[in-house]
Amino acid sequence: MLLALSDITREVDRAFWWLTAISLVLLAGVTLVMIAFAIRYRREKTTTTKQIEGHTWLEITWIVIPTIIVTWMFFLGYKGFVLMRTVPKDAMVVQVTGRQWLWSFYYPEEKLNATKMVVPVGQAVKVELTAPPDDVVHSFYIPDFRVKEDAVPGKWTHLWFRAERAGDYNIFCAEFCGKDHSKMITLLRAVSPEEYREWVYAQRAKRFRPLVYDAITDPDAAGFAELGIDGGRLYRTFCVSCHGAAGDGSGLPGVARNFTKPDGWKRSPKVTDIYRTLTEGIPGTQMRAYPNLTPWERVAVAHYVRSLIKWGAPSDTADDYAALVKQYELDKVKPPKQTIPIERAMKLLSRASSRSPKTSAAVRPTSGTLALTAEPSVDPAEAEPQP
Amino acid sequence: MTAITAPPSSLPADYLRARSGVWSWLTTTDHKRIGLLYLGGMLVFFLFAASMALTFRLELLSPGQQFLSNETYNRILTLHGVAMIFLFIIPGIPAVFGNFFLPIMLGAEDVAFPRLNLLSWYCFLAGGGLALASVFLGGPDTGWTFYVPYSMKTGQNVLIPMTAAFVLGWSSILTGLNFITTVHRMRAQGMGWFDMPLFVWSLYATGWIQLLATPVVGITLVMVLLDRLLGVPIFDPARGGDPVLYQHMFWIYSHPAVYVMILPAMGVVSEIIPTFSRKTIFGYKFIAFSSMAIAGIGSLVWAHHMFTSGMADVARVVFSFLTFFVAVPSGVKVFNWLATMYKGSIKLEPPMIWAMVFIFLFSIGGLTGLMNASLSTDIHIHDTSFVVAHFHYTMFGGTGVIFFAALHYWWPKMFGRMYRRGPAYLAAGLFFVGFNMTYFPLFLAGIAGMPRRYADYLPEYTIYHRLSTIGSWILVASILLMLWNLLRSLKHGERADDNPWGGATLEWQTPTPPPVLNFSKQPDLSRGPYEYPTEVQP
Repeated sequence: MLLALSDITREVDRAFWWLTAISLVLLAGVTLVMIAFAIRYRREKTTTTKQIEGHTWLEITWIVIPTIIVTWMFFLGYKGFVLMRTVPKDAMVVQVTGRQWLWSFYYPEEKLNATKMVVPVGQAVKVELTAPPDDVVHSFYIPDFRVKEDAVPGKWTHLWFRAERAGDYNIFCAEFCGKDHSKMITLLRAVSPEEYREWVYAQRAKRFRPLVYDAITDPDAAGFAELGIDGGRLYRTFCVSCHGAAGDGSGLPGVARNFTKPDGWKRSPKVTDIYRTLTEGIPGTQMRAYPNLTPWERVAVAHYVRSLIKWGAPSDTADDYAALVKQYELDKVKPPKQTIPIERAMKLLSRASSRSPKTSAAVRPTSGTLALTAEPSVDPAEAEPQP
Repeated sequence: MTAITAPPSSLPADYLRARSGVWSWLTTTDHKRIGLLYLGGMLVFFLFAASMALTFRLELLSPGQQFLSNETYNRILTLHGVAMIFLFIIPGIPAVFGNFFLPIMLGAEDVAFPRLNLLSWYCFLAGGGLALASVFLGGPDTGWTFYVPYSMKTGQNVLIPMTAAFVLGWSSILTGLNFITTVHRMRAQGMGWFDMPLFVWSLYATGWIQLLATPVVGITLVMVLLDRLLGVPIFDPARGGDPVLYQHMFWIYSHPAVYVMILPAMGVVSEIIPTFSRKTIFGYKFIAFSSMAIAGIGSLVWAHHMFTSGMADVARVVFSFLTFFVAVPSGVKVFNWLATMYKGSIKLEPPMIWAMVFIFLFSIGGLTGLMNASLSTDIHIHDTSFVVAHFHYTMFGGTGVIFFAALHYWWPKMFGRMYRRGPAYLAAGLFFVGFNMTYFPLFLAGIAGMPRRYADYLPEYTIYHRLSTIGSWILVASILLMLWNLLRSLKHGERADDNPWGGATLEWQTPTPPPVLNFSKQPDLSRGPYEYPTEVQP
């Protein structure tokens, strides 16, 4: 409690120590006077008593002085409370739902659902609390930040805090909510703003996995064929004139990259770097950028190019993919507007809905079309590409 | 009751021996016998509730699950709370000592409505029986507050304990009504309002709270039943009801109930301290009016239990502000008690020791109450074990301790036997150690963030829980020693004088134990309830 972890902690602890100090003085005073009287006026030592019926001014004194003290105590607590209830304007919002017996988190600014709560250090965080209408009352409590507020079914309540030091902090449920009340504990992780961005991208990448992310990591699952995107055809349209049909650079020998040789690459021969090259070109060379290709098409071409590399080139790691998604915000890329016959769509949908909710979510209708491409289990052989 | 054959002497038979047989007890309308009936029932409920606490404290000796599942833990916790609050702390002092001594202190033969008095005991017994029965019918697991919507959703049977609370409410209302009427109508000829002992004043203030606040809890419980059984959407948020409304209604009763618990205890202290200090009470009127002030202000502070409930911020500020002012009349009482000891002639008999233990423990309870009343600090410690420690210091360290003090103070008058001093002192000393060891660590755990009503806890809280559990063993041992010492005296104790402590209130003028109609001769009202000579008689 000595090193405050947040502005609210500092304010609450200050009030708390003042109250404790005054209380200790009063307690010690009452106890010592009581013991002193019990010893000083013990029966063995007293022959006479003094019958005093009262003393009005003394009574007024010990009514007025405590009244002043408690009024001051009220303001001590009030001051901290005002701080607690004055949410800074730049606060980032996290919506928290309590249910028997877990907490879940939604970051509206990132449109992100999460099972963990991660916040950037130094950033004010407004927690908007609720519980589902058919659930019970919970209470969101972070002891280290001295904040607590009930999550009431069907209502919105709020609190805010600002973590001033990185670390893991307990989140407890403080309102009795049944059998596993004492297990309704989770961790709040306060990290540097950079780490926080990383975390958001990683979460987003996970969330948008069915879209481009999966297309990069697994072109087969992406179902390019169904989308009518053919990396090979695009290669033959745009690339073959310089790089040659086999990718050996035979169209413009000595100038165009020979994909079959490991030496002299400006970027690495990973899919992600090939994508970067397609997106940005290589300045100072004749390799230009291809903004006319959609991200989906670039992914398809990158994979095709990669398939031409026969030597032991390094493969992409999960981090590489995540970095690429973050760099170009590929998680925001909408699926290409492609249509498929209704019977085919129905067939895929019914198959998806019989699966677990996690995977079937991938076949959510998006912008009026079906994001079938992302459905990992679509067998390319089954696919019926549109002419 | 009057048609009793008199013993050979000219004195009327004492109330214990006037009639005999179980039936004579079950149909008695003698307020003293009804007081003892309450005492008997209450000790059973108290020991039952204490054994529940001992059990779950043992479970909390170490982190992780020892021998109680979460469900069982929650049930035991609930029963402990329900039994202690509704069957011991709320009715305790008024029903036992109020019933026994209020009419005697007023110089009356009985309470105003003796039959109603017996009915309220049967309500108490029925409510207590229902509460115990619910243990065997599944056992509620909601905590004693029955918060909705959990209490409407849980599969456990909460209807029976709620009905029990409803029936107990009747008992409380009838007792309050009886006491108010008795104080107004039954005072001895010549006894004015300010000639009444302060214990009577405190019971009078309590009676009003019981009468005015208890119906609200009855209404609330009926609303829950309507919601749960007939589907009237009052509290259920899934159908548009409001769970926070329940919390308001619950605390509109249950916070004033806190003063039902503590005011009579304060009244007893105002009797004990003058008696053992041989001194008139300091500031009689201030103590009397502070009881009424506590009853009044205490009725306007209920929502300080709800600072995190999501109610409007302005309401939280108002209720915090009002709450602080309950501390003032409570402080007035403590200062007046100390001033009463000043220049007295103090004899540290067991009841006085218990009263001093009370002043210390209750001061801690009251002062930590300020930390709960203060908005920003309460947000942190609300629903943590800090609150658990706080209300055990006030309820148990306050009302419970004074229940024991009153037992030691009036035991010789009630039963005509004196207990042994040695074990009584030893029990009080052990109690003091055990009590602080059990509850003080919970303050620290609460400050460190330990939520209450947790069947299990994170390893960093082990030290607090372990100390508390070990303390609970000492605490229970001290209580058993005390009860053994008292009960033993019934058979082996010395015969007690009519006035063993030299008290000035009217109960010390009657024979010990008192006769059926309380007085064998007209009580002498010339001496006030706190009039002592300046010369100290040994």
